[in-house]
Amino acid sequence: MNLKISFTESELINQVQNNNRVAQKQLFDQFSPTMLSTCRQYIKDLHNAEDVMLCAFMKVFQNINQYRNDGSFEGWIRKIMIRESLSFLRSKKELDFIEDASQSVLSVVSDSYEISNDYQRLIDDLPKGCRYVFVLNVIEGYKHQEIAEMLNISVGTSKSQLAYAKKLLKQQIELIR
Amino acid sequence: MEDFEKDIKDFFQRREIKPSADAWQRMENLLNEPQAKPKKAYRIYWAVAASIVVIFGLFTLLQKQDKELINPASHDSYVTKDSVVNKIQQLQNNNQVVKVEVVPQKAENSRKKSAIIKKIPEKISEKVNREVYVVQQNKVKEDAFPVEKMVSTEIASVQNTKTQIYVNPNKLLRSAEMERQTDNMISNGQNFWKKVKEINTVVVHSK
Repeated sequence: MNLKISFTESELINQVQNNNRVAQKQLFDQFSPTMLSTCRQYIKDLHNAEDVMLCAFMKVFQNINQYRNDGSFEGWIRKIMIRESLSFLRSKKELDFIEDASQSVLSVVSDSYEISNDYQRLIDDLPKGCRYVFVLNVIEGYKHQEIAEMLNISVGTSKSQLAYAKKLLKQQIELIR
Repeated sequence: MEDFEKDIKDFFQRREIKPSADAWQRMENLLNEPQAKPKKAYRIYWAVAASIVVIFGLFTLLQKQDKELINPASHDSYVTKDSVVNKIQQLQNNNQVVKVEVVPQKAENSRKKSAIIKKIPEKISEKVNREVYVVQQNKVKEDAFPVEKMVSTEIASVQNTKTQIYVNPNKLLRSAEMERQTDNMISNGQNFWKKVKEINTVVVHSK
């Protein structure tokens, strides 16, 4: 007989801190769909995104003792996912920015988007420099100073890349509509 | 924030992607792997710590030696004229080595002249008309610090304190003997080269 134990969030954290495998699985099952979506925002290939997510969960389990109840637990996990995704991109030299946003061009100009469920493709087709700035600022809510530190770029570059990303997206959405 | 931005944000905040079926199995495999400890990092820390200890030890040692060079008073012995004369006479008469306790004289008596004894027994009689002598007992080089300038301060310290200081006559005699031997060697050497020159001139003339 397979008993399914369900922990509350604080219990879950305590149990994971004690290396309870059942709690670890519950945490994984609970957060992995959202976190895979987060990783996928940065990494185009879904398999790579899943690998990155697993590595990030490993860090969650290893460093859960460092979690202080000063913010949402999901937010803490999400931060680890984002940092792991950016590390992966850095290792693949995907974070080489073009400082002047006007020099980067839209990689694919397509009119076959189905709005409402294909925002991911719109984001994927943005030039890589402005894509990450857009995701970090608009979707994750990071400030330009934070983005500049995370991506190792200047605040000015972050702002110009964001403006360029918004301009390109607006053009694409208007074309689709 | 424009409408399309809000739409995109809402879309991604609501979206979930189900991981592959074996995702948890792969996760468990990762969890079961023995965690590699960063041994190399620890080794580096140990090496750095050890080198810091060694450097600190050397620094302390050198500093101690520097203090001894700068502050030789702690190794010097102060003797009065009369005591040195008595001592030398005693040594010359008895031809024996005796350890003598020397007490510095009063300030009025020691305000005349002062000097440093560099060379002892046979030649010491030439210098005994000086009042206070500082005998270098340790092997500090004379040119390592301005000895002559320090004499006045040494006198003051002798005048102000009545510390009992010991002179090791063995060392005095040994250094004097060494100097005498060195002088003999130098004079012998000079005589040797004189003889060589004479022989050369004789040989040249004979040719």
